[in-house]
Amino acid sequence: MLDTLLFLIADGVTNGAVYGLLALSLIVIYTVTRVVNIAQGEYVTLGALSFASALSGTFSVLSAIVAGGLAAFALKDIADRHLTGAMRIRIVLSRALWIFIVLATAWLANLLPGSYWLAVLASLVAIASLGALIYRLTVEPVSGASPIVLLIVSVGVYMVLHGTAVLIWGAEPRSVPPVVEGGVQLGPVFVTYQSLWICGASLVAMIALYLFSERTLTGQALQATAVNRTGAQLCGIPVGVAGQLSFAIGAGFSALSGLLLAPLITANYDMGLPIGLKGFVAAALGGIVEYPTALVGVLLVGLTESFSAYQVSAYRDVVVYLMVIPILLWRNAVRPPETHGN
Amino acid sequence: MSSPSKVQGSWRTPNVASIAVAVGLIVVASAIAIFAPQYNVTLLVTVGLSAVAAMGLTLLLIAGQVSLGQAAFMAVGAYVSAILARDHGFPAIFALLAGVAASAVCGVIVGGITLRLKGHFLPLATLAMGMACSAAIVAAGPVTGGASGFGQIPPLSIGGFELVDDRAFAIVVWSIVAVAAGGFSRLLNTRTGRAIAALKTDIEMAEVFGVNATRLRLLVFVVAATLAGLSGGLFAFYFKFISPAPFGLTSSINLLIACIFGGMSHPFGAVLGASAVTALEMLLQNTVARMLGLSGNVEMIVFGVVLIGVLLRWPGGIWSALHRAWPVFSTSRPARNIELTPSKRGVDGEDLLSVSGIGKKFGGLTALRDVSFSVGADQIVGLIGPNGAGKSTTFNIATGLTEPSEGSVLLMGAPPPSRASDLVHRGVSRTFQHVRIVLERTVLENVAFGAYAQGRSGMIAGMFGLDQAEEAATFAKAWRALEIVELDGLAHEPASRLAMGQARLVEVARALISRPRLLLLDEPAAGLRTGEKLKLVTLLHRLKRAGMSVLLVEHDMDLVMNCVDRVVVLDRGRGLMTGHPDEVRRDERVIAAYLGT
Repeated sequence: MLDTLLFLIADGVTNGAVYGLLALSLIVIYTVTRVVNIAQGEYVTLGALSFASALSGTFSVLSAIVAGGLAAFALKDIADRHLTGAMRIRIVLSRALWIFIVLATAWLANLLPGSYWLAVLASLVAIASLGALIYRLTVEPVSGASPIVLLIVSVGVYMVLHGTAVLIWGAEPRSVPPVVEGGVQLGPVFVTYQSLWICGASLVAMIALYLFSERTLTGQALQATAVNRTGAQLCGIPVGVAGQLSFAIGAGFSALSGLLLAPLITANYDMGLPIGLKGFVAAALGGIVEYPTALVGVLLVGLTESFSAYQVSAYRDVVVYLMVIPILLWRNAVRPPETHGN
Repeated sequence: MSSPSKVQGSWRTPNVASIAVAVGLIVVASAIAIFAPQYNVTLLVTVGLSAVAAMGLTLLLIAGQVSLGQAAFMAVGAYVSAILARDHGFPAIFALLAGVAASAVCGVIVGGITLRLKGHFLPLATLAMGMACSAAIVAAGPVTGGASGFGQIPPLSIGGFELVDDRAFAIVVWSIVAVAAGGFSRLLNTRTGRAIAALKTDIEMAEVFGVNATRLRLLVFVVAATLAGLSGGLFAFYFKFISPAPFGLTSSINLLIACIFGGMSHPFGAVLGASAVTALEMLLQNTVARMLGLSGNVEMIVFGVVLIGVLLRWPGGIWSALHRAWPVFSTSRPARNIELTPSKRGVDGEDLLSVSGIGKKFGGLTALRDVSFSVGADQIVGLIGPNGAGKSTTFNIATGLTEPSEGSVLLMGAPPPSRASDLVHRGVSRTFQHVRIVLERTVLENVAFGAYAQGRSGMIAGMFGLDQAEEAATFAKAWRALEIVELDGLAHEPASRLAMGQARLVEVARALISRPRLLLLDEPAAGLRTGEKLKLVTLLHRLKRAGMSVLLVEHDMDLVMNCVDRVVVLDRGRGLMTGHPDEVRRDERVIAAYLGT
């Protein structure tokens, strides 16, 4: 009995760690841009799948698409007539470097198939850049719109990314190797190393994000944008850059959770949405704005999931999805979201 | 601006146009159903069914709500109908009705729980609910057939008549589409339609004029759920096979795409959207799939791009292109003159509003302490004070929006009602510090909304035109109110074109038409030019002569001094003094508070 209990807890905590990365992504994106990002789970899928193909030595089509998108926006930005020559050169250099990094990591992973960390890097760089691109394409043009419109736009993004994932990688699931094979016997419970990696990576990512937002000027600027968009803009914070950065961080974190989770469940085009929604349930506990409450949320969701899988296995997802409603009701009573714009 | 009343040809009204389009829909659909090849008939039914469900969602969007789980209600309708008809031997028509009723009940339950959620929480909750519903259908395999679904659903029959012919089925479905679309289209310009528009603009404002916001929001949600259930039930009887796939998240999203693509401001947008989405689907299947050998994923990408593109570049959807041809709502000015007098007179000598010793603490901060004053019959009382003096707090306590920490308020001899929507029944009406009018509607319709509490006709009466006498009376009053504020020349202009001062006067007219005994004006002169202020003073005197009392919260000392009988001066949360304007003007404390010492 105790063994089962401990096993369920270990399982729940691992799941919780994955949802934790998702919840953080959602919160970073929501606080800075007011987008309730339905498409978040797709970055998980894309992260896992592009990692799988990078590892097997195929040049990721996604990296090429992302590089193309970045180049297109670079051209658009340079075409701005109000720029001085020096600013143009700066844009050209910085964008060229960005595109170079995306292509170089993908190319290196292609050259050295099977090198784990190179593949991780290639995948994360590509997906984080994709996040920034998505911001510029779908959020920037309507950044003043109400959260509901932004939410529906993100539904459109979900459809595009989902369809693209199938188009590039097909419907076949792919097996992805763990960082290290095997596991360790912790008391009566056997825990895979991968689970420990997931928890560790989650923890590191959270601490890194905390340090970034508290200790660096860029992080402070993001926070300022989160508190008051117009105010931040008046203080000279480039709100558009802040939005891109938040989308890049969110997409990167989600991709990380995807490629870490993939070995436990096999990567496929359909894995993202349920994970994204469960991340939502957790983030919703903190109203999609508070990190610490969201951490309680992810443990709650992870544990509920593993325990209900054990008790009423068929209805596991029903229980987890329905959890969001009491959480939202509670949150709504404590501190309702603003109804109009920001 | 130009002509005082643009009376258009009487046949060019939205009502006539609604009926014409509805009849047109039936005719065209019947023609296709009778003459087109079998394959197109199936397509016709599919479009009709999604139009029925999309129409509910459009109504929801018009009321300012969004659901990402609408397909779950379709699932309830489909599964309940199919299981009852197949496994429990219910006559098909009763099974269908039971399925529709079940989805309505689910709408009541889900709506009752989730409609208190604000902002983006509602779409999130409905999304989770939809996902849970799909998962539950799969999990409840023994009853629902699980992921693979079940077939052999009997045909729809009414009495002895079996609806086995696909072509007849298509005509039935499109008759429902036409009746619902025409009805909802007519509904937009009726008492309930105006309330729904007000609800979307500002819930608090809608409640002040007697709309029970909770109930109306729930009603709209339930109507949407019922239509989705009807669509699902008919789906089951048409295809005779159901599985969770057509009722999943993708369907919910496709419905939303149909609504947005077609135009989310009008019920016909749902019909246009459902048709356009299906047409696009066909096009993609016939071209992309056949020529390039790519399957459903391209469809998903294209739909995603359409959704984003429409929202970003063309938020009005297809309907916005046709909107120009749609007749503008108008009513002609009534010949006879009616008087807008307060609905009932009070007992002589009784104060309409009496505030005694009220105070308000927000946490440790005392915003208001020991304020007393009263507003008697036929009186204009001004409430003035510098910024932060507690005017708004006093105003909110007087109308029952805020509970005082101490002291008591009597409004028409009784404590303020607990619900804002009961205020108007007490004979109290108000305007707002920040103008709250429905920008998309005409000035006349905005004013007519003020009469909401005196009307009776509901959704059904509005849809099918059983409210004509009441509407005529309402618009006669609205015209009169506009004449009183001298804005009758702008009656058919959209409210979005008004200048600030005009918009404030529209708010006054809207308050007048509810025939209050006590009118509360919250900074009516803010943003008004000098000439407009003088007109406002004249207007207030005129209202007083008509037997109305006014409580005026105002910054502008001159305006207040020129028209009130008594002034209440607040300073730093306390009642500084109450008296005749001349006394107040001479009082040293008041001068000190306003000019500094």
